[in-house]
Amino acid sequence: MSSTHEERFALAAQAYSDAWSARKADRKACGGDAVKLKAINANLDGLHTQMLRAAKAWLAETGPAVEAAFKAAKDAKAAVDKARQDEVDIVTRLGAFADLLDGVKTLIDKAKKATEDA
Amino acid sequence: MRGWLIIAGVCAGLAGCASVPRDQAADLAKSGAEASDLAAKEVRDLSGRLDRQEELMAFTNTWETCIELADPNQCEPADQSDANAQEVGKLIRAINLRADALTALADAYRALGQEAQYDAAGAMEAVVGRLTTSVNAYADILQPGSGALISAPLGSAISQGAGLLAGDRQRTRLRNGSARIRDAVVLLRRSLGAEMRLFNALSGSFANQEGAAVEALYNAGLISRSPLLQPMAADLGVTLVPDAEQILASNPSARGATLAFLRGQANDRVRLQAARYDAILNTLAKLETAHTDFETVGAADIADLNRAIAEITALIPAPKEAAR
Repeated sequence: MSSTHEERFALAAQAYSDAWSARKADRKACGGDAVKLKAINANLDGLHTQMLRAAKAWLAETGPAVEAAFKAAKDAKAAVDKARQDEVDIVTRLGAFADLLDGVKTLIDKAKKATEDA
Repeated sequence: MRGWLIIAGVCAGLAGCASVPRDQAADLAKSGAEASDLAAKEVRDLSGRLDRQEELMAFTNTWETCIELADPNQCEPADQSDANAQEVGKLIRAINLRADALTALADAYRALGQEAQYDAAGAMEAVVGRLTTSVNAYADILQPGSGALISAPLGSAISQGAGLLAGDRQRTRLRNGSARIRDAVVLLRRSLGAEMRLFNALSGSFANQEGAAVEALYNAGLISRSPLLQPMAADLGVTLVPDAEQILASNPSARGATLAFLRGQANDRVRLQAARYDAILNTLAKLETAHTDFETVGAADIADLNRAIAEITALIPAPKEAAR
């Protein structure tokens, strides 16, 4: 079954919301390292940016490319959830964060209508 | 009700059948303007909160990052990226299109009221034209090129009625003006309804960020803490002790409870915002019904409409809470 534009927005919004809720634990896991802490902030900023893009766009485009992007973003989100749940080391976690950010961005790029300036 | 519908159906085919009383038109216009103004304010508030997010997030992120640094001297501002700033700007402009459409709707109602009260022939045409343009601009960003928009008034569609008696001409203008406004109400209700989850998600995100900013200010010792609990004490009819500030600064349990209270307040604001949005959609539906009744049988249930408006105003926080 195809995803709906609301499910696509919800995924982008949840990715940011979860990152926001977990930010203190993620920062704590950086062990005081300034570079890693900056990476956490860049990830938060990136997911917030994508949520705003998703909020403005209607994400109503359909087709196999959109569904593939939706699945990839969902899988990336599940990987981030598991990494946090398992408290894997922060370097591995940051890699999963980057994959999720890419996944959400690609989903919005594919799902927005060509006429939308999102 | 069935009898009403039969009359409505017959009258829809006979131009002079419905009486379209002027006082009904004036009442509908007054209530419509009030509902539209309330909805526009709600949307502009959201836009204003989005505009304030940048400084809140920069402060919160910088504070929370710097307290985790092994070397505090490495503390640097955690600025918003250029890409983020651009998206905030774009979203603010998009939200303002919604507010502009609702303000144009309120203006159209005021013109309808002038027409009803002063027989201000022609006052409505330009205003309804602006309403059509504004509503279409908003609806078009939701579903670009979908064609599900309303068409502009045709020449003298609103001022038509040449050859009729003056009273009949006014009734025709009022009925036509009402129909044009109703088209806009229908499109706005559908568009805003489709976006309800979006608005609620944004509102929830803002509440989180605002709560985190207060928490950061609290933890940094930069704000008076006892005023945060003042609303609860006032509601309970009790007074905080003179050294409440000291207790809140040093007692971890008091700190935790205060932050929990603040989160509860933030959640209340989110729920209120969602309820107001629902109430606005319900009022737009009542407006649509009132227009249809007004145009067909010359009578609308304004009391029912006003009850829906009262539900919106009842959900607006008192000034002491809104100021937070």
